[in-house]
Amino acid sequence: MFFKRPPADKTVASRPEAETSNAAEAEMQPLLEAETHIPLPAAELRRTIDPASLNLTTTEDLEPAVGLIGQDRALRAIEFATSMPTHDYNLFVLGPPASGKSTAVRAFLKDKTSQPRPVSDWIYVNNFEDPNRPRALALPCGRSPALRAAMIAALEELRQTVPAMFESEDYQSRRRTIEEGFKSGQEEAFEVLKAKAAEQNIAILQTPMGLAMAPMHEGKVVKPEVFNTLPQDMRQGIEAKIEVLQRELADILQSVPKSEKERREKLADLNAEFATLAVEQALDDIKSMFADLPEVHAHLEACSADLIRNIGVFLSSGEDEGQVVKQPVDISRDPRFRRYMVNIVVTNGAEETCSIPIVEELNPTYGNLVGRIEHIAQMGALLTDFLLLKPGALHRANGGYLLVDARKLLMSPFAWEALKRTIKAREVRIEQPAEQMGFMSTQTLDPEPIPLDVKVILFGDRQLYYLLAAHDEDFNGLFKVEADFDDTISRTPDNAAAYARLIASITKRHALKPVDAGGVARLIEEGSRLAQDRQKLSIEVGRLADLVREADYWARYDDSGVIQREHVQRAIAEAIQRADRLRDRAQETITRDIVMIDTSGEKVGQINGLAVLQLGAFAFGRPSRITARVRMGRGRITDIEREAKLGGNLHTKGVMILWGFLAGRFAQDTPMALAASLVFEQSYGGVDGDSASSTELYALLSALSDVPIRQGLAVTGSVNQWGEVQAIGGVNEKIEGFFDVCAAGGLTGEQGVLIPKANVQHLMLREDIVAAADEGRFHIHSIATIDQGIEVLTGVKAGDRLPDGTFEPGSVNARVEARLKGFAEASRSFARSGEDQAGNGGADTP
Amino acid sequence: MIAHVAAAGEARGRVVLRVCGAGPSAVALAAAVHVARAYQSQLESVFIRDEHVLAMASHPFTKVISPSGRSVKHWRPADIDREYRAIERKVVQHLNQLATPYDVPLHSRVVSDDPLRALTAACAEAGPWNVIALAEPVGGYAFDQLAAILSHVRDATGLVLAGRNAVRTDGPVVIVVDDVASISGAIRAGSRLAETAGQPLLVLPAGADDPETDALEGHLRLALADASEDTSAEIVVTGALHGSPDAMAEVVRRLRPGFVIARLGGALIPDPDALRSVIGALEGPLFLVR
Repeated sequence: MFFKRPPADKTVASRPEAETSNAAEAEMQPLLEAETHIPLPAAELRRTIDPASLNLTTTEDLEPAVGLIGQDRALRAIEFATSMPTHDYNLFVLGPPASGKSTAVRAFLKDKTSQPRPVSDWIYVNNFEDPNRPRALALPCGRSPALRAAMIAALEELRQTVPAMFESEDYQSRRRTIEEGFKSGQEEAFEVLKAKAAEQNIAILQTPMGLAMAPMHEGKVVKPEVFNTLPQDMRQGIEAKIEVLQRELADILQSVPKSEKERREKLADLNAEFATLAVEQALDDIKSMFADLPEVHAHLEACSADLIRNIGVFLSSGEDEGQVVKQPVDISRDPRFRRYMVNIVVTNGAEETCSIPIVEELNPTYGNLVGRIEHIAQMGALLTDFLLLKPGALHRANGGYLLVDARKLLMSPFAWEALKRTIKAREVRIEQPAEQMGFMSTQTLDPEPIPLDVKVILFGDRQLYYLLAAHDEDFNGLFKVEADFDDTISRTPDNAAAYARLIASITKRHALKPVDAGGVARLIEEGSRLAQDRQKLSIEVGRLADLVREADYWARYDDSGVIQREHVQRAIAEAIQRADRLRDRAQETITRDIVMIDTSGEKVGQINGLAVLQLGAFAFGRPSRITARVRMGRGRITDIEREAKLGGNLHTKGVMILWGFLAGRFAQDTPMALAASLVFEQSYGGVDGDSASSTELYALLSALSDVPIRQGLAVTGSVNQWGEVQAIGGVNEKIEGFFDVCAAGGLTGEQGVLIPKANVQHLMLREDIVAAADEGRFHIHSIATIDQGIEVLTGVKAGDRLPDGTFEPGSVNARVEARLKGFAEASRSFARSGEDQAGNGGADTP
Repeated sequence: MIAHVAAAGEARGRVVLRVCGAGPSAVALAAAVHVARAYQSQLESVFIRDEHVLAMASHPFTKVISPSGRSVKHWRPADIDREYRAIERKVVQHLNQLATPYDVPLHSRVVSDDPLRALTAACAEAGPWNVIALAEPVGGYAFDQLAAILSHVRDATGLVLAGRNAVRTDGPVVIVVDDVASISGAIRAGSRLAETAGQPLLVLPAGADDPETDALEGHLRLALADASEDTSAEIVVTGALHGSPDAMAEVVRRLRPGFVIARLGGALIPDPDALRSVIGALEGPLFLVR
């Protein structure tokens, strides 16, 4: 490495005398050159795979992977949950998006339900005793359509036979006999009374107000003036006769309602006799078809009774008189016959092929889950009946499995609560959500609930699962099984082979070109890159499938018969190119010196940090200048990011830790009379995370020791209070970000990045960086401790503490300690001089 | 018959609707309008305030019994007057609804008199070509009353009425022919009614016995053969009726006629008993001719 003396132009004039003596003494010591730190070899920067080791020509040689790879834990959980017969062992499948969770679960369930198993059909029918409470009936699998068709056929038959039967001579003559018997009886009684009155010279006349009587002579009513001339006893006699006749007439008229009632009863009996004959004939076949189902049979009996009672509906046309072109009305749409129809809530196919339902509800709203009661607007009112009961996904999944996305479910008003309520009650009840809240004022229904036997499988990410587990007290009781999908698997030879078969299944499913061994190798490498870990492979099937499809596009673009390595490479590059506009802009601001980043030379108290910016699915690294200034003070580091409210909590924590390290190492027996300020220069957005804490510490050490830092290096890594450098995220993007900045100005061979040693296993760098490292044009240093790091950055030995308690003279640590002691002494003497001045009634503190 | 009006080009034919104020029948009103339409004649409503009823209302001791028999109360002439007016308004309104779409001219008058005398006077005013229509439904015991109208009102060719079971005016027009002399007139009258209603015309030969029925049928066939091409009628062939009015009434009923044309005192309605059968059987209006 290099040995660097402090720059000659450094000024120390402003330092207090006490500080100056310690620091100057330390500075007098020659700097100790650090041992050379060997950068990581190129082979450590990216884990490649030899295509030949895959033993394949193209993926066509492979048996496509069935189901998932490396998800044994999740699959065992699915197996367990779907086999537990109890209602509360429902399943929550958690894992990252596009990890193939739902595809895997569907494939698993498809295998599990491949054998036919009878699942009940459910229908809603009219409740003739209480029409607002429709009845739910279960039928053996596949028999409900037959019932509906048979009912329609029976009604069609009745529509033909009933009018004919009631037009028949047999019926008409019997009816006329009843009518005539009644009417002629009334007329006859009236005529007899009329004759009797006439014999007594009393006239009975029809008036607009009713019937009236008066004395009559020679067929004419006697006028009052004539009547009054009659002797009084004669008049009284006539009036008495009229009185008697009036009572008789009233009796006759009053008997009309009674007779009318009898007539109606006789007619009703006659109608019922004929209706029974017609209805029994029409429904006999259906009754025998469903004789094995007592509830259906009982419903058919109720239908029969109602049809007989309301046989008149078949005798009216029911057609719109204003209709210009009269068309035969489909009986199933005729409002007069709705109550006899069958509303098939769910049917699972023919009896012999009936299978367990697997229902995935993509839009899990309340209505789509538990069903809804629809209404028809009629004359300004909203009306409904049992035929307007619409089933939900729970009805369709009854007896099987319901698959729902948890996030969508939770975002749908009322849906989550309804699902829990339904699972708990083990019955699905169709209700209006507004009704539950007491908002419903229109006509609605209270249909019988349908017993529920369903296994609910929710899909969601881990955050959602843990939130529900923590905050929803019902959740743990109802979703007792979690199937936790890993997003990565170990990159072993076996798993690499399985990965190749997974790629084969993707090409098969999407009808893509086969991938050759080079292409598969590149995809495996990209799998590690996506996993951010070269020991792992990403099994986010969705992303992998996207990549293979895009590579297929470029293979077709090149008229290639197979997808080769370069097609995969191009797909990756094109995807990045499509998304990296902001990265380019950021890069440009650095190359044009708008954002100041030095990639050569040395500076005291200045260092290149590395940050990762995540924009959608694309992340990239960007260097950022971090500077530190120190002075005598009261033991405080000013984190300017935090003071400006641009620093996040984790960043603040990192700064506090580095302060802890400084105090623990250098201020065991002296106060920390240090004031320091740290800043991310030209950072106008927020800063968070602790990955820059080691970087900030290096800047501070440089500022305190007055030893410059090589600006061709950038640093990432967090630090603990013992000075150990800890792993961080996004290591590949960070290195690539700094590499691009350096490459833009030309690689000097002095440039590189310091990364935590623990992150070496995550390295899956771009091939151009690997090549540059291999050629010695760029270096990646793995760092375990701050001392290692400061040596690489400055070329000066960090320095161990000697038996006398001091650090090796000329080391960075010795210079830092001396500087801090200098600050402490200066602070003490400063305080003393202040006291002296105060005791002497002196002047103000300067 | 009124058919003569059309045949003779007579312009003074009229339908005279008698309204006595005891609850008019909708079928009777529709039948009256239908006849007026068929013969393009005017319809005059004669609202009769029966002098006997008015006299009756003047007696302090008389009471009116409601149709239900539950209310028996004293009444005053003012009450009866109010009721007459209400019925008159109702009938005029109903007739307007029926007649306006067909441009049937409507007239009306109010008369306080004996009903038969009022009717006779009204018909006499406009010459002999009148058809009387009775607004109130007719019961089975009205034979004498109907006979009296036809006998006293000489300036009328026929009488249209609705029985108590009348519920419709749609259906074929059925003519009951019991007299060779009236065949051609009956067919002309029936044709007009059938044509207006857009319904078929059926002719039932009804002799006093079966041979006479057979003979009538023969004459009918000849008459129909001679009739104009516009006349389309069908002879109803039945089994032996033996001249029985009940059997004829049953045959007519089964034809479900919208209009029946028959002679009062003829083969279908020879006597009061037969009228009771016919009134009980018919669901449409009856056009009685002399």
